[in-house]
Amino acid sequence: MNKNISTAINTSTNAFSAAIKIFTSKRSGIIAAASCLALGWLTGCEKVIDLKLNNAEAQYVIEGNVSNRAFEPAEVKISKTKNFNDDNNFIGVSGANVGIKVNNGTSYNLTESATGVYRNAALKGVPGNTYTLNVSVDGKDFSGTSTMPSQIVPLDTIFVADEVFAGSTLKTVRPSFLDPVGLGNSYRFIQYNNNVQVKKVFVQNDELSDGLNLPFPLFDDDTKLKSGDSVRLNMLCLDRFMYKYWFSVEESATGQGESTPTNPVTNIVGGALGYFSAHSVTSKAVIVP
Amino acid sequence: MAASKYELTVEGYYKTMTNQIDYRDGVDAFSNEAVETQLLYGKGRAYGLEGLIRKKTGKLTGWVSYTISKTERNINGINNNKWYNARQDRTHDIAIVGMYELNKKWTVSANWIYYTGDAVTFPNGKYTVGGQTLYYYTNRNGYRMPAYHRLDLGATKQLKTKGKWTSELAFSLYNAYGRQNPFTINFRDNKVDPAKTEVLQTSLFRWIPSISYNFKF
Repeated sequence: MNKNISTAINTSTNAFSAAIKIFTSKRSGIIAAASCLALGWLTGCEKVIDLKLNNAEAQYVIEGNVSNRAFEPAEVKISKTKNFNDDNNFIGVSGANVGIKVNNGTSYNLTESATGVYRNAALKGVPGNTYTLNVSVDGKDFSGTSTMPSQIVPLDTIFVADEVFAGSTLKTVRPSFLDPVGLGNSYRFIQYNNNVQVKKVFVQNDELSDGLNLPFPLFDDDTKLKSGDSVRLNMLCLDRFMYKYWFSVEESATGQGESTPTNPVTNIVGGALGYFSAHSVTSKAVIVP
Repeated sequence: MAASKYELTVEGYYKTMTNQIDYRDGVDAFSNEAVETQLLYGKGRAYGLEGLIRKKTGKLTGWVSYTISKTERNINGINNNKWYNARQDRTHDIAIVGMYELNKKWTVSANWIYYTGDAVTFPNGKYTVGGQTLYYYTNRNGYRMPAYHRLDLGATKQLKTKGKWTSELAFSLYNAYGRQNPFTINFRDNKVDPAKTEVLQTSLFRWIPSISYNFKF
């Protein structure tokens, strides 16, 4: 019998591997291979690069919110897309006509309180109502419709515990709330660490947790929480179109996703980016133990 | 050229494809909805020219191969219904492989490969929503990853034969010039100055030296 045994040891700065393979001849029809691979540490090498990106014609971006909380005015922000190398500062678009109509017939006009920011403090959202946004700006018309979920699911409590995320231990927030029985509930969480908003999209629905209280961890590897930090968490109950919007933002528009990048699935009609959301909000705060 | 010493092949192809599948924008692969609702169907086409020249005998053996090709898709609902590059579309693909027998004991080898980077989607703009920078896309797979290339070197020493026992020692160096071939390219706010956006490239291996001992009996 013809035997071939080979031993290989590979070393490198990044990887160490040892492999032992034992092959018997093909004639015997048996191939026995035993291999042992030990990867010591596989670190990626990261660097900031220059990339030539094309510029596109600027698009309107509309961000509209109606909440059930009296102290939060209905607010619509209008801006435009920027070139990749521009700064990220908000440049509002002035002079728009902005109105929100409720399905009970009432209409509200929003007035410009800062450049590109339109508000009406009298409009307080009511669960179950449907709101329609109309924006006209520079001869273009945009609209969007959103329904505030009829049931306000309250955020009961939040807690912070150590969680292992991608190899490192992070103090991580978990929201505790009881999802009502029946599919179709969607939630978004907005987290503030020491009053600074965490730049992550946290969104979930009840497809796998209908009627249950499953406090999923909200992983954030950007801001490292420490004992004594304050955390505030807002829980928003969304309609399913707004769930789809935030889900697709997180998957494909943050520049980090692994899926094919695309523009999020918007509920704005007329060719603008952004969203119009009517949602309920409950909030909890905690000091990191 | 002596026919037995060299081999030359040139091939061209053109094919059309139907029932090509790609993801709908905003796909939710973990959804309970049927997966086919997350997909779109359309057509594709691929064409190209492949050439290979190989030297089969003598102290120096090896080959040079080159392929130029194009692979595209056309699916309603993606890229404004226009033709776009499939991710695996590879314009140029070059391989140069050589082995040289220095003497009875030593053989050295080298190979160099080069190919056009994958067709990928990069942003053509950005905007702020929900307190976060988001990116604005206009074309599916409208950009290219940087080209991939690397050189591998090897040397093999034939050791003494004892009866049926033959053995050799092989040294090799993968990616000899330490090219940082990109694995992913991401976009993010600068950590120090969040008003700026930056492009972050992640690459995996650079040089990988190896030594192996092979024996046969």
